[in-house]
Amino acid sequence: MRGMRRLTVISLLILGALIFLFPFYWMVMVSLGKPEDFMKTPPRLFPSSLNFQNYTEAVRYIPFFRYFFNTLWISCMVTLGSVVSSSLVAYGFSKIKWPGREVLFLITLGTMMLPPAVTVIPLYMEFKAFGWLGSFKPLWVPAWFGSAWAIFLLRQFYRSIPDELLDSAKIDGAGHFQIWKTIILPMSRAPLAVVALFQFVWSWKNFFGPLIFLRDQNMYTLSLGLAFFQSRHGGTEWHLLMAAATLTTIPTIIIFFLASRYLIEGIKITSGFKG
Amino acid sequence: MSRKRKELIAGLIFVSPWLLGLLLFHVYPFITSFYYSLTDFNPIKPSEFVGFENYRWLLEDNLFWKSLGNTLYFVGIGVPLSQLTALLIATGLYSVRRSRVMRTFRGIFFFPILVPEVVMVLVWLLMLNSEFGILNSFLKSLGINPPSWFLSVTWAKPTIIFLRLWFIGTSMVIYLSSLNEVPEEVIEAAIIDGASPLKRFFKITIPMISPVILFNFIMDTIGTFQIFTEPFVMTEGGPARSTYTLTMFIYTNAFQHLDMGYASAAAWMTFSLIFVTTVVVLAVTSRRVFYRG
Repeated sequence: MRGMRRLTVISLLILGALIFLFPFYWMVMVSLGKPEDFMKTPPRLFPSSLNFQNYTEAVRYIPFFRYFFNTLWISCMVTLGSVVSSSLVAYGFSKIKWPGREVLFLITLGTMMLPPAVTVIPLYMEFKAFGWLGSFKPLWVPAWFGSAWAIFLLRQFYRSIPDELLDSAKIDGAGHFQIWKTIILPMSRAPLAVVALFQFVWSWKNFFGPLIFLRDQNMYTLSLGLAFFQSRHGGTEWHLLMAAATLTTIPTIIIFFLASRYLIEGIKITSGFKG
Repeated sequence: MSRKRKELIAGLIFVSPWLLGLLLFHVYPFITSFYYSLTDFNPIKPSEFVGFENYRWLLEDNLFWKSLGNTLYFVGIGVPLSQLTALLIATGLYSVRRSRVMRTFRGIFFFPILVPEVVMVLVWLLMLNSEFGILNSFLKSLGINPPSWFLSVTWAKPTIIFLRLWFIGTSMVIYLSSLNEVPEEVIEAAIIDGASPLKRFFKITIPMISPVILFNFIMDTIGTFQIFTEPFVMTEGGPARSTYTLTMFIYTNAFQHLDMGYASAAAWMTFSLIFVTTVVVLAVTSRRVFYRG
């Protein structure tokens, strides 16, 4: 009875997993095939030959490397900025006692509920006034002022570090900046990795931001470039588009294999039920 | 200088980047956006205060009602369906939690949220292509005549809801970790009392994780109210505006018609709707949700 139930659950999970994986399988297969392999009914489930030259063609079909480096630059700047500043801010919200701290923190949490659609129009006018339109700045500079989500996650972690650990440093005359640098930062490699990974992935995937703030085609990110390429060309070269889509996905696959454990921990912490 | 004073200054210095960011990128735009909604505002000409005119026009704008209806469809059908899927998968994973395959399965169901939505939409556009889409070939081989999916007024919304089921990873991970926290003694006591697995699930597990269910529903509802990328890339709001959503309405009015006052009014309507929905959901469920400790 028990064994039967277990077998049923495992079979259902296998079926679900196959369904979940199929779009990715198909993306890779089409990217390696010839158009006549899959542009027919029924299509071949596996291409007749492996055409790796699709990939060398795909990077010319859309300006892949340009989009790739645009996206990489924005994502790296977002990651770097939000890790550095969110860590400082989270320290100020957890390890220094000052009046108004909790109120300001509640407001910080409140900003996570604000739909981007509400703030995007004034932000657009603001960035226009700063002279940032036509550059990548609207997409990465705000991250250097901290991210509410990252501040929340790091604060949860810093609160779990006992104050006694910092007291001895204080007696030795260390200031807060010294404590942050020599005690807190070395202890928080794991949560900082969580913050960095999520910020990178979100920025890599982002579509709405680049759509609003990037006008020049040469400055497009991969998500934006792929979307526009598909809709503007009637007879889509699907095998090339799928090759470009596969290349776009590879960085996230690498992150997944290196660090899915951190990502899953990060989600658990921010769901707020563990702290 | 007193110690308290010193701590206040140190605290403010540490949070100063965020204090500035909060004002510049959140508080100021939030307030300004409400002001914009009361003006006739176009970036290339001076703005003019018009009171609540924009809101009055919105209520008479058929396209606004249509996009509101579509968005409510995505929320009303998409959110429960996604959450049910996430909970089912989490429950399946929980029941094999001690085996080695659990991590592999969890990884597979989690992975798609790392993939850009645009990539997912492109793959689905290919798989559902009416000439050579592989899903259509599969359905035809079963003797089912496939609909024209995203090209059909009836099927476009369900198609988008369906492809969004691939993005349940976050909710699933949260459900799974909450299931792991249900105390085993309680379950064991129920087994001794002879409660069936189904009864245990509905009478013990569901009530115990109800705060997490509520949390996931609210987060998913807030997110789905802002649905944009999938309908924008897949159908551009079509066919016949059947997938045109509130955020698309805001985007088009603000950045294509440059009617930023009108778009801001629509944005505030959307925000109010999200806010009221969240408050109502919290109020209605406050008695039914079980908080431990």
